Amino acid sequence: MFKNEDDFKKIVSRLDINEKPSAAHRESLRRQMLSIFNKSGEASKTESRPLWRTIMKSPITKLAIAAAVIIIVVVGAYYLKPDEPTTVSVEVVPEQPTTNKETGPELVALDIELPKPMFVGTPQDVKTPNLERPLGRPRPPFYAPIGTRNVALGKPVFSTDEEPIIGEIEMITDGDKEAADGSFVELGPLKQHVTIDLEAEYNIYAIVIWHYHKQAWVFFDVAVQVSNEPDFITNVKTLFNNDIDNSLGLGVGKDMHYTETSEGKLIDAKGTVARYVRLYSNGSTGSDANHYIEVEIYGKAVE
Amino acid sequence: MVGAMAKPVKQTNADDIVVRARVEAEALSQLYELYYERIFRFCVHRLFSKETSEDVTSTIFLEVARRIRNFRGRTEQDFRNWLYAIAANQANAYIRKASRRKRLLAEAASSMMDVTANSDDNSSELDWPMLYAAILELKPEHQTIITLRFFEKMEYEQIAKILDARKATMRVTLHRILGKLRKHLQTAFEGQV
Repeated sequence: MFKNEDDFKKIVSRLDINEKPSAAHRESLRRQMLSIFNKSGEASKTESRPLWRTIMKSPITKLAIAAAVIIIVVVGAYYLKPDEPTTVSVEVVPEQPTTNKETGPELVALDIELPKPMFVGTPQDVKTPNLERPLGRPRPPFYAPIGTRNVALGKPVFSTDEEPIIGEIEMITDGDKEAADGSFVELGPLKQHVTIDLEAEYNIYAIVIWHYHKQAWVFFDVAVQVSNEPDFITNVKTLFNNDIDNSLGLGVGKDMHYTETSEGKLIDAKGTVARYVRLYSNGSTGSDANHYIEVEIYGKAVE
Repeated sequence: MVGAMAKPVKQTNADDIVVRARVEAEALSQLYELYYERIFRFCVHRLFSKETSEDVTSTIFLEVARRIRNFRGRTEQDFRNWLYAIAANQANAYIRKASRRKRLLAEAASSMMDVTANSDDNSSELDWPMLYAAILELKPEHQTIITLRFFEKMEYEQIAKILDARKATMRVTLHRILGKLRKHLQTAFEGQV
């Protein structure tokens, strides 16, 4: 038996493998390939861009539209508020106070540090069913009791795929949310789940998931459950489930699919008390594999 | 050689062919000639059966023909990485179907029996069907890494580029894969004895 890579190389070099292709297949495939190539060329020639699209894409058109919008706003401000000074000024919105008057002074906006975005905007995916529309602006602040923090940082993680294809399971709670190579873990294909052990019971207020935000992928069958038992047999609460065809077997999910962005997906856990958090997924629009960059669980020790 | 790796980037004739292949059938045909055998061989190493390998090789090159007009690489190395990434995905997609996986295993097992029946000695030398059966026990992505590294003789850096991963990750992953493969082979040998 081989001991190391070099041994294995020697074994492979001694193998007798018949790898000669047939000349007939080679020639027939070449003809098919060139035929498809030529057809795709003809198709692209006939699909010329319509005139109106060319006009709308032009930078001059964009400038003209921007100028028109500014003029309308200025004129509108002048006529609608005659008592106000006519000078257009940009009002600097002060930073949101950390306390929310509506929900009581004990709540503060969670300070969720976001990673660097890898693409601008959110491309509209028209193929994925039940997909929520991008918000088009930053996520509004999420309020939680004072003292709420990410209690998942550095906590142990277990997975159905013990040996990920890329990266290590521990990377899910290592605090690195960047989408760069070396920051994500790639689990095998099909249904997989990871379980984070918080090592104690917490009131959980929010769970933020970054599966993979290098591209605008949509992950399938995303479900999040919490429990006080590691086996998730009893005392299980489902906080999120967008498995529309019950392929996970947890029941049909009513939540919507969403597009991955650098903001991550924030799930309101409503202060549920739990020690274990389990996250399911079943591939994405970009890959059969299951990716995780980071999971943050915002909670507070049970008093 | 397929495994020839990252040399300083300079424009070569092959790079020129890659650029022209986006619009010229003649250039695409040249690339096809250059890579047909390599890709077919890659498929044989991944899929064992020559008949299946022909089918998957066809799928790969037809995919290339459909997508080459949008390919943005500029060098032969870019093209090679792109082509092998398509090949790896197509081979994995084929293997992931459980029924196909069973068929491939059955073919390897049947070849193993033929080899044993025709063999005069009872040596425990590893043959291709036995090794293939053990490789097929691995995850499809791990099978790709084994094939690229040992059969296509690629460097870690190039494998990492094809699989969109880090070079260091590749090294560690391969070490683990070899450990698993060793276990599968030991089990297979013990089963024979």
